Amino acid sequence: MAQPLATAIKLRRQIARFGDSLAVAVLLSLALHAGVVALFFIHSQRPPERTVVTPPSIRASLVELSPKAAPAAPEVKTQRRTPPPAVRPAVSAQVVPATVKAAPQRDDDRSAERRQLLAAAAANGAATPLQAVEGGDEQAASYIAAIAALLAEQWSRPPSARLGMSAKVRIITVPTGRVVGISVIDSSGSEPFDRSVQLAIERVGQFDIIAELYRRDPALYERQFRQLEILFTPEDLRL
Amino acid sequence: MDIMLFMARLSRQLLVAAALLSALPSHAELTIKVTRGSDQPTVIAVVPFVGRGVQVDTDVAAIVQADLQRSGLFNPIERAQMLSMPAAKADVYYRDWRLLGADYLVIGEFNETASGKLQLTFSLFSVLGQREMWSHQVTGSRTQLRDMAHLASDKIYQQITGLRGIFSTRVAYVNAYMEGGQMLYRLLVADVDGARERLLLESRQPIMSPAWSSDGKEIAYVSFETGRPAIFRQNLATAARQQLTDFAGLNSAPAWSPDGTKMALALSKDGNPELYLLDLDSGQLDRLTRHFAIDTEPTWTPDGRQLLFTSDRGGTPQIYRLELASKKVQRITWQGTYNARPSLAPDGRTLALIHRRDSHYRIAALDLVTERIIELTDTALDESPTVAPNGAMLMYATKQDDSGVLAAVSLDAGVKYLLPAQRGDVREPAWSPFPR
Repeated sequence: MAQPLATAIKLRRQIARFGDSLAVAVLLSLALHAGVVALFFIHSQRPPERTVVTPPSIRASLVELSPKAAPAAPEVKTQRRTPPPAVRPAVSAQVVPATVKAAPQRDDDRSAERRQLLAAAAANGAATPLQAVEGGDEQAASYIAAIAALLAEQWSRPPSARLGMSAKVRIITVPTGRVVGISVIDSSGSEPFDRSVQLAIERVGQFDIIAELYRRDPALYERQFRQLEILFTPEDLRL
Repeated sequence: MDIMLFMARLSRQLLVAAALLSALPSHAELTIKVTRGSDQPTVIAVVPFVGRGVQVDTDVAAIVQADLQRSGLFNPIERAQMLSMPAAKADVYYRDWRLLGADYLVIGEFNETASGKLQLTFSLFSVLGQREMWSHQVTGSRTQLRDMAHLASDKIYQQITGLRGIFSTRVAYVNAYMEGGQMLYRLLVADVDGARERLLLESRQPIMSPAWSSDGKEIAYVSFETGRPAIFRQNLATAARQQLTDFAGLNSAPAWSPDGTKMALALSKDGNPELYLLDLDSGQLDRLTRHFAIDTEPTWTPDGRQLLFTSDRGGTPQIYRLELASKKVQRITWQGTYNARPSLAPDGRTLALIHRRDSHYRIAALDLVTERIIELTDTALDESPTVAPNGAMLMYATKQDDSGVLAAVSLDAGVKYLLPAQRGDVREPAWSPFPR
């Protein structure tokens, strides 16, 4: 009886001695887990934003987008224009497996509507001319070029713009490709120039190419495309 | 106390962990570079202005809309397409304007001030940004509605483009036609849209080369009324005029210095056309060039230290630079077999000129730094380019149905417009400086 008691006392003493560092380790691990869970939580909070996109504003961006020759734009446009009920049966029947393959973890959402959206989008994605190269960097590079081209198409420089001027902005996107935040992080020093940059992004409003990227490689999206820094610096001006 | 220590250590550890976590997503942010643009005209909607308790007969918003459209940088939305015509901020539904593809929206209203003047309050909205960006007021009498409209256009243009608007500036030109079997020459000044033409001088003898003083209050010109060419200056407000030169031979191409104290001219009193500098206070004349070739058409650099002029000393007409302090001359145009009639933009860098390539004469803009030439017009009938004081447009004389008319072209936006045609020929436009 003395033996177990002695062991218990020793154990308690050991626990007391290492108590705080153990607690630290436990708490740290708890914090990390909480952090990871929070990330998931934060992420799963995004989909509502995605689906909340109201019909009027979608239609408005379509008016602006119509003269573009952007890759992937036409198909996605018609899809977005189509009311969800019409799309749902046909597309989900065909493409749901592809969606699950593309984003198995993110699709934990119980929202059937979101699944439909993804499915519909994946169906369109398959038809886009953009040939993304396998392998992260090259793939990212092709998306970057496409994004830059879309912005160049919408960028009207003020006549006061000059070679050598530059403005850097940070944009925040959601997986639908919609821009939800624009901030100038490095001003050109000219208000009209900065405004022209902001207007170019607002005119694009929705990067279908980013939505496509998200469907193909959500990890790449999270890593590099949720937040983007864009440097606008004209190189083709007269002066 | 042990517990306190423990808590302190714990919170420190947690902070480190939190910092690590928050640092995770930012490491991979990448930068996209956009180096080109499409420079499409900005789509703007100018809603008809309303009168609050006042009746305003002139359609001021229509004048603003036309001004902006003529600049080439704006593509206004037609009134018939407007889904609503808000008069106040509370009535603005951005969705209506998004649907039309508008980038900007202008609304405005007139009020009467205590002194009986009209006050126009107008606001600029960013449609995509869904916010009122800026608001401004201009005041004037009922006879100044057109001035108020141009002033509003100037302000809106400046807000969006960063350049001062030129809608309140004017243009001087010469109109000539047959009357009673004889030519009649008239020197006129009008708004840049051609409206409100005003007669300065009428003569049976030729009038040529109008040139603005830098304060915009006087015009110098060549008149043959004395039987041979002489240079005059005339005050616009008082119509007072003074003859500046009466030399034998050619008296031509007056160009006012930026500080207004001197005038560069081309005189042939010493044999062939040479450049001279006339001090307007003392009347002292200083010869600048000495060459057997023709030197003419001087134009000042904005700093007033140099003149650019046309000379055929190299065999063909080309543009040369003359440094006034040293009188050193240097050729600056090397492309094409003919470059003449220089008109320098206020940036001192863009030079408008008549340029010949492949036996075609065109109005072109030469970048004095890169030496790149951009051809702006493509008919052989274009002459006398004059650059707007904001450097964004130039005006020139051209032919339409065999009679001379004035046209304006933007230096960057690729837009042209013709000023209203007149009886007979219109030639030699001179764009005024900004009003002071």
